[in-house]
Amino acid sequence: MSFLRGLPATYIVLLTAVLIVMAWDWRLSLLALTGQYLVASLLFVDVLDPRLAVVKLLIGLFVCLILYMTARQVNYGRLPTDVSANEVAEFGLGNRSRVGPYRLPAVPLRVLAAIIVLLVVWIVAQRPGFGLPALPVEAAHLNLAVYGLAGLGLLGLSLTADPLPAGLGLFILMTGFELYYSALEQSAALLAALAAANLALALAVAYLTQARYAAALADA
Amino acid sequence: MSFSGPVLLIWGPLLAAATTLALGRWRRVAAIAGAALAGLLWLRLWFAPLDEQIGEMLWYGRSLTMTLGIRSLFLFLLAGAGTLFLLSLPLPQGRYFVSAGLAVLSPLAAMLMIRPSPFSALFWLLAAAFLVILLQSGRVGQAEAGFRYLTMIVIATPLLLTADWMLDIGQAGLQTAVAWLLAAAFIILLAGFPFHIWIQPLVAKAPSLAMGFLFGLAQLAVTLFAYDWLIAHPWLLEEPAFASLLRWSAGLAALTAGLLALTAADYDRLIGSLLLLDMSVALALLAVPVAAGLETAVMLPLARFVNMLAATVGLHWLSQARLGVEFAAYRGLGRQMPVKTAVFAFGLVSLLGLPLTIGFNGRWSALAAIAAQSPVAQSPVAWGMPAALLLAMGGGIYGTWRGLAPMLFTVADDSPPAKQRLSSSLALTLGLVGGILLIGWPRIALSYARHLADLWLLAG
Repeated sequence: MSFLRGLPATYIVLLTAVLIVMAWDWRLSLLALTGQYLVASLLFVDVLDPRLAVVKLLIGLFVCLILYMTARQVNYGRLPTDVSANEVAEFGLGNRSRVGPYRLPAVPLRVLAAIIVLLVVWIVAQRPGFGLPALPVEAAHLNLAVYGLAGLGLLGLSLTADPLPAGLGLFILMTGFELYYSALEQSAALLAALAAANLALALAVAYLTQARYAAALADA
Repeated sequence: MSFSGPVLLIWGPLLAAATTLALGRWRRVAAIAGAALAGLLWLRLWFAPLDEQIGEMLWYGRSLTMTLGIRSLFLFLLAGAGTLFLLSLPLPQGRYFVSAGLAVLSPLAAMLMIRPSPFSALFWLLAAAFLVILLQSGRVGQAEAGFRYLTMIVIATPLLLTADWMLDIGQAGLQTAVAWLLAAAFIILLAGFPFHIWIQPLVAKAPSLAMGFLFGLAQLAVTLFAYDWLIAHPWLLEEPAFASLLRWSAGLAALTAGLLALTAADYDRLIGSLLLLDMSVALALLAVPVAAGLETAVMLPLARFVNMLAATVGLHWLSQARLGVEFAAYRGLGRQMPVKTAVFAFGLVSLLGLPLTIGFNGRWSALAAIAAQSPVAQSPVAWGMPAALLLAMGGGIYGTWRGLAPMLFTVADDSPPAKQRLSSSLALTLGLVGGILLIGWPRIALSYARHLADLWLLAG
């Protein structure tokens, strides 16, 4: 796995973040989030003791498990029993996003937004004045990773009000921040506190997702 | 066995929350149990030995210390929470209201007790996760309001953590960066412009008592958390960027609130705009020197707790006689339900900070403190902040008039209201008596605010 360390891991992590943002299926998004946590652990090794980086990975996997169980429980992504696919197509309620008075196809819009964010992040990360303080000189790729994850996380948050997909944006943002913060502070106590915070966030997102879709479940 | 305040405040609420969660199937039993457990914690805290520091606890090498100020604060928070749990008997709030309300108190206590402070921000994030559950409280359907609130807290947390690290390393050149980060974090936490967008959805969607919990009790803890930073780092207020950002954000938020109140067509929007105005005053106070602003900053959430309860509970009661929350739907309701209308109107007017209400003392003191820090001799533009607040209050007054006039001064032509349940009558009576006491004797709240502010400054 050492061949993935450095820039390759950064590119893969950003790719997974783009997949999460543009994915039309929650299973694909969660799979991408799982992959992100796996590859991000290689980036964490650059700033943390490997044993602590493993803890980050484990917490990430727990988060994915919580979200997966929640999505399965609420039958996420499936139509209510009294709505057919033909009705969805007839009323144009499919996978579209509202932009002002227009309803645009969601996936191309998301891809475009992700490309714009990546471009901005790429330009900003290359500029000398925008280097994040305290990052190791030999780990300059972390600059791109942190900015990219933060930018794509905020994009994911802003593209939808649905708790589950927006929650994935939250976790992308948190991963980006933790990657940077791990370079500043490496204490086990802080790691434990961040782990607890991530799990609490996962529970909160899971709870809101259940609350959001419980009505549909009850009707079914 | 020696008394340990941190152990009591961290484990006590968690155990109480677990107990009430187990009883959640029986709503009334859980509410009474929650109030009783909050009362037990209150009594244990009240009879704690009064030294300068009431106990210390070690957590992963970090110390959690309960000071007299934290003790005084949690006496109020526990009393407030217990009151809300009792009020949830006639006003059902949802299955998780009591247990989430108790659980929130634990990380709130840890946030204020722990030193050093990077953990404070993370404990606040934990508290926010429980608050989201309290705000949703088992209701199904819309979850946008709670998620938006959670998002804001998640965005603020990295700012606080990074600022703390920069303060730790102590490089003089980073002071401006710290000021920017902390100003941004406080603006997010106190709903300054442009991060005020979570207020309106919460007012529209969250249960009525949860509003008092969040904007009264929890915001009091957050306000004191913000002042902990200002007391520990007094140079912040001398940093031009810090005060300037806070003032601009508060001024714009106030103007936004005034505009929203002017154009409000329903009571949810009106309450949300008045609440945003109150929060913008609290944010502007952060730019005032601590000695001048802390007492008033404590007074504001105290008054807000009572005001939000009166306004949201009053609206909840009134909405049972009407469909929707638009102004037009409540025409003539004042004549049919005079007492409930009085409670609701009191809540609105007090939230606005008009005279003869509990909200007046804090609002007037805040405006005076803000104006005193904005001498025209320094710059005519410095008067912009107080002017913006007064302008916004004008908008709020007009909006409140537009909202209350149809209720109070028109005659409805439909059926008489439903009979009132005994439990609702009792809750109403208690609330009215409490409100009258606080209006007639504002010293009750004022003296507590002064006492808490003095203790907080002493500990700093």
